[in-house]
Amino acid sequence: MQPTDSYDLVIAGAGIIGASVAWHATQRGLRVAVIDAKGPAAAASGASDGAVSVASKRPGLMANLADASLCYAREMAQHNGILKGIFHPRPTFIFARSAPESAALDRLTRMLHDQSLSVTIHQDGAAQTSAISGLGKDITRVIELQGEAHMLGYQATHAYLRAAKCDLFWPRSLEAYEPGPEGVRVFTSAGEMNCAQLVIASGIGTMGLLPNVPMIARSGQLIVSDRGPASEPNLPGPLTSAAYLLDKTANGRGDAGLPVVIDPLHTGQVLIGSTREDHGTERQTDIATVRRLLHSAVGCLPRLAERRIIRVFAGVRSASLDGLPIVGALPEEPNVVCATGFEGDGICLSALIGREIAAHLATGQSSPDLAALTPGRFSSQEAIPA
Amino acid sequence: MIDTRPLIVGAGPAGLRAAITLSDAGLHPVLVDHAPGIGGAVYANLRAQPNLTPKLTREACILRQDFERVRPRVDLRLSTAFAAFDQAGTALLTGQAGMMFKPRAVIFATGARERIQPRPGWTLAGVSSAGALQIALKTTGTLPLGRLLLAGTGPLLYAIAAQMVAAGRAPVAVIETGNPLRHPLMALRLPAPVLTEAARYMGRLLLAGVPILSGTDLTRIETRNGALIAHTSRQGRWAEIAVDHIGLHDGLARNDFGISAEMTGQTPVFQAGDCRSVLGRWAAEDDGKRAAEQVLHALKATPGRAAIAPDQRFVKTQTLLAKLFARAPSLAAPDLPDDTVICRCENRSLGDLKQALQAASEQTQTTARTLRLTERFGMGPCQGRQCLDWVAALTADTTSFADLRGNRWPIKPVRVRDILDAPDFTVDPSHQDLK
Repeated sequence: MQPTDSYDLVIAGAGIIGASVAWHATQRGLRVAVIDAKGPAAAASGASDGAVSVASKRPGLMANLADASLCYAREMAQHNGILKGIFHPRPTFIFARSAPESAALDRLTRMLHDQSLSVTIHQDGAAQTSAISGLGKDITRVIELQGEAHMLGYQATHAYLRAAKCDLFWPRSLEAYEPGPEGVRVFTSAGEMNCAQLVIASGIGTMGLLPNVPMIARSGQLIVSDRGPASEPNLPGPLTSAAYLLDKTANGRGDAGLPVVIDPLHTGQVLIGSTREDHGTERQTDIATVRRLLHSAVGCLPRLAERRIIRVFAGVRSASLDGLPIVGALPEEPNVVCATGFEGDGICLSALIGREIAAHLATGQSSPDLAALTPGRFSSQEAIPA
Repeated sequence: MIDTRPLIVGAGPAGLRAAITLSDAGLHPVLVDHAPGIGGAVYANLRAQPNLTPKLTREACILRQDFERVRPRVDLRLSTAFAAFDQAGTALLTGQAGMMFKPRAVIFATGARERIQPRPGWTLAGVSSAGALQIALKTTGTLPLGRLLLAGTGPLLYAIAAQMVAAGRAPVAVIETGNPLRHPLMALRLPAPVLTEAARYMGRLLLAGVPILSGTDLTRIETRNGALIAHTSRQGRWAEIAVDHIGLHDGLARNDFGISAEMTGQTPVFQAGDCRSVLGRWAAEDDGKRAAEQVLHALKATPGRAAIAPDQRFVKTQTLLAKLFARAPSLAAPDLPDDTVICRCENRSLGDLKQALQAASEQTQTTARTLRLTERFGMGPCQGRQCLDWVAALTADTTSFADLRGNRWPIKPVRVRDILDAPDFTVDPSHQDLK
């Protein structure tokens, strides 16, 4: 097989992470090609609800990274920035229905304060005092956050790819690669490519390529409603159960209640989600689970009972074993960088990760902030005797 | 004991015959239909209709009698919609007699899908599908007020026109894109029952003086002074017809939206009748019986029989009909104005689609996923039943119809309250009266 072409950088994966890396790298003058087995935003980026959320991140490093990325994305949405018209600031409403959920809200309050994040509490009180009318009586407390945003994964992906002066190839999947002193030979389903550096950002597609990086495919079911009557006020922002925070940040949610998120789309439709299931089978949805989610959603916002459901779908998030994303050069292969395992946080982190990986590729210097995300952490764990 | 009775979706000729066959074999099927009565689109509410064709009425009576015989063994759920069937084997019915249960087998007999070609103005108020007018006529006995016009192509157009005449509401004209009467010798090769029925419809239309403008396209619809103006074109000659309501119909297509092996898991699922292959009501009854036999084989765990080919007589008839109505498509989508709405759910035009394809071709091809996510084709409440035929035709070199179609439940939009209200018999151990 003849090499088709030679690039500074080949990116495997045209999801929001790969697209952001591509745009940031071309801004630094690198000659870039993006390949994807299916096409742009074909997996988790296309199936996400688009919530740019700091509140749902694990306190500490993840919340700091998310907040830094949020601030950077806000900048890119200004003036003629790349995310203008795609990144929309909006309030977030996080509610409690039980003591464990209320405790989670207390922890969230502490995190926002202790870490001096850019996301702030606008209001914290009983359901009646909330800006959202018609909340269900199960809801005892609502926190309104200011500073978070909405950004649909597929819109951001397309914006980055459209603006990046790079070559795009799909369907073309990464099948293997061979790092050498001169660069990396990339073997794809459509022939060989040569590049100085390779970025693997193919989400769950990364699983087969990097056997030393342990990952889980974790699927989630989402429900889409119709547009609803024109007279009905659209939610100003997502209505998120505190159980959802527990599900993502702590060791399980215990008896806090079913995690449910009611997310308004600009069309007037709402997206109701989402589950975390360890089977990771794309497109597997089931009536029993959807009914439980809907029951919980109607308990929080009774007027949803009159909406019609037009579609149910599932997306698969790639998750790491320790819950942190996997970002950085591979231990023995400095010319190969991976960026995966975001488990739904890629929407929020894509801006920062794209910028930092591009900086690392162009300068050879990697950000100390991302050191904890290195793929090397799994091989060193293995070295510790049991 | 959980409810595992076989499910039949649709109580038209195929579904009724399937129910009769399963009942005769000792099973107790659940038969669901969203309509308030049995019969499907073709036999709906026959008693209330003028006696158009004695043969149709006779056939409906025989089917009804056969069904009455097994009626006590069938759990008939009318005014109830089939909403979903998942990989876990759970079926969801919503509406008057909604429930969740785990059928051992499913037969889809949902009838054909009516095709309507996009034309400028086809989304205006007062324009509907001809099929919708027929359903209204059959179920409520009424039609919209004012002057009616039927346009498009296919045999069903004449049946609907004749039914309108019989109801005392003759259409102003029937505009037929094809030219079926140009080949009388070919037409004479149709089976006698088809010819008899066609002759009856045509006779009705001739007697009532309804003009049949064949070889004529309805190219554009606009509103003027509160009326709809239909612009027609025949061999380059233009004309206008002012009416109050237009029924469009561009043929029938098989209907397997929301039904696919990857969605339905381990449960045996079969399709019967026009939803599998548009062969008409006689073939549908036959097919319903055969689908039921396939279910019986599957449930006895004997080696599964391969899907049986439909009776060749019916295939020949439909092929011949297709030839009779065939013509060069002068209304081919690429020739339509760019502002023609293709997807009415999401209000996306032909221009939007062309732009998306063009923008992409500079770098790389547009994927089906992008056409759905970014361009919104197939993402509305109809799930692409209306638009995807045309989107697929325009993007044939890059995407396939199968990729464009999401195949996601619910099959039709369903109210949240109805989903929550449906009693759950997938787990309830106390529900002993259901076999």
